[in-house]
Amino acid sequence: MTQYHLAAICFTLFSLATAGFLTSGSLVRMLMFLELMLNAANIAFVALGSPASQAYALMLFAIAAAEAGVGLALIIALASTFKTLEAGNIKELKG
Amino acid sequence: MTLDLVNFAACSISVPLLLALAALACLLLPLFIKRLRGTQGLIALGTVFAALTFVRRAPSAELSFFSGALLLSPLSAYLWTFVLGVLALVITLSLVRPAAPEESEGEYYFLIFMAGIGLMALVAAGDLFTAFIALELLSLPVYALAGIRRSKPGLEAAYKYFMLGAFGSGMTVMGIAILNAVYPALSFAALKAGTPQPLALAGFLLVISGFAFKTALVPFHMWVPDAYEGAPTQVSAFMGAAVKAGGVIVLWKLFSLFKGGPVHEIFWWLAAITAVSANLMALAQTGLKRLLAYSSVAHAGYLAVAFFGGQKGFEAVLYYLPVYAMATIGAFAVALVLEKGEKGPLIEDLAGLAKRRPWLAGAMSAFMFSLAGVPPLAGFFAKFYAFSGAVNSGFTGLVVIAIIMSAVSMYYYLKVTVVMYMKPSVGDHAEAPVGVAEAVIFLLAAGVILAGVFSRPLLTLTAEAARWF
Repeated sequence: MTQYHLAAICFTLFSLATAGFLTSGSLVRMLMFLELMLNAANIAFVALGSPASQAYALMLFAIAAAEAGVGLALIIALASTFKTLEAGNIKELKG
Repeated sequence: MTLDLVNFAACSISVPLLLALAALACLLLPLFIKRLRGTQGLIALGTVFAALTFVRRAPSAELSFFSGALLLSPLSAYLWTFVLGVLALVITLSLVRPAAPEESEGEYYFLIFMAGIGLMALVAAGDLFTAFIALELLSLPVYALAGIRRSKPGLEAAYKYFMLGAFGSGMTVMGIAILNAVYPALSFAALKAGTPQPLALAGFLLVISGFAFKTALVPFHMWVPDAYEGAPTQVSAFMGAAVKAGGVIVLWKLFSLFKGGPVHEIFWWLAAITAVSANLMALAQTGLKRLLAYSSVAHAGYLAVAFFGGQKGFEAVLYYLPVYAMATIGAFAVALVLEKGEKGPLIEDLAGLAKRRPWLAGAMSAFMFSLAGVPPLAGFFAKFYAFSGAVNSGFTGLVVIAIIMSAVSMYYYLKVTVVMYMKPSVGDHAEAPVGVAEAVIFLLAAGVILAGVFSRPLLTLTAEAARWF
């Protein structure tokens, strides 16, 4: 595996995650795609950067976990208030 | 290092540390000491004022901390004062009318402080990865703050803000990862020295779009109207005044890495599209908070126009931010006084305000005129400096677009004033008198007028601060 393969993997992963995020309607799935986007960046940090930039990947793990925490908390609150997790069904505000 | 610098460094670093300490105190102390329940707001406000005394007029030097991750300079001192000012205003407004239910009051102040610390780190960040971490520290609490009431509109606002904000963060961090692969270091100085490459350009575009989400430039603004409408009004004021400022500072740092080229072209289009579409969309709004949301998007566009003035433009941005913050927090404070229950007031609800509350209506007119850019209010000078810098650098076309759209914006800002003064009030309007909120509103109205009439002191400060980036 050369660096080119690794670059190809992380770009593919990032594009798939972006496309998935934009097309999916379920909040849980959207959150999963967000995490995939961060993972693609993580692969890029580890595989393409200098050894020092692997520290960035470690920090990014923590950030991804915090983001998932806030996201899941929001999803739980939404599920109990709106009784649905489809983004299309949550439209109290106009716009 | 002379004693002067050591003193400055120690004082500066203690500002975010103090806020972090107070955040923990607000969160934990009331759990153990029952008598402290309900006083978190006062603790928070006291801390902000204490922290303000630690922000020193910096000696003219740039100190780098944590191997260049944080850069402290007159610029960071200026912006930190701005952040603390916004925090003080938002906390005061939350004291008058709690934004959070009683049981999560401690969490509310904790989250506000965390966002404040994130913003401070963001504006002082010396490299892109620090900027990203600071951005997350700023954003994650604000997502939670938007939904802190756990009501339907609040949660909807929170999830829309979260999804698009996190999507923007994902793009930013992927861009940073690409830049990290291309360039040896991520500090702004190193990026400036780096040779341009196609792959790096892709990285920069991803980073810029991520920060454009936070600053709410069109087409990255979709979350703004819903988030501002659904979030508690105090939180909307914080988003409009503070979160946007953080994004603008980083965007300027990215913009100034380049001398023309495709990145500036992108900024040209972002600024033009934002100024045009945000103002057109604002015309049709009926809700006051939604109107202010679109106005906030439009002002992001004007700020992006100011970038083209180079160094002078950055001075204008530094003047623009507090001026815009005063007017927009003031307008949100008026919305807070008028709102009943969860929903923000409609523009029609302002009808007859001049009869019922002449002073409040006067202050609201001052905010609207300042946002519209009517002389001699501060908003006029902010726009004037922002646009004149860009004209001097030869971007007349962009400025003409911005000025035309600024004239269009006059319509919806004046509509608010017309409704207040010309329309009779309909129905029952027994707003509770809220003395402290009105004090804040009058203070801000005075600020909007004075910062325009006596703009010299503020301009000297911004000129000094702007030299440091």
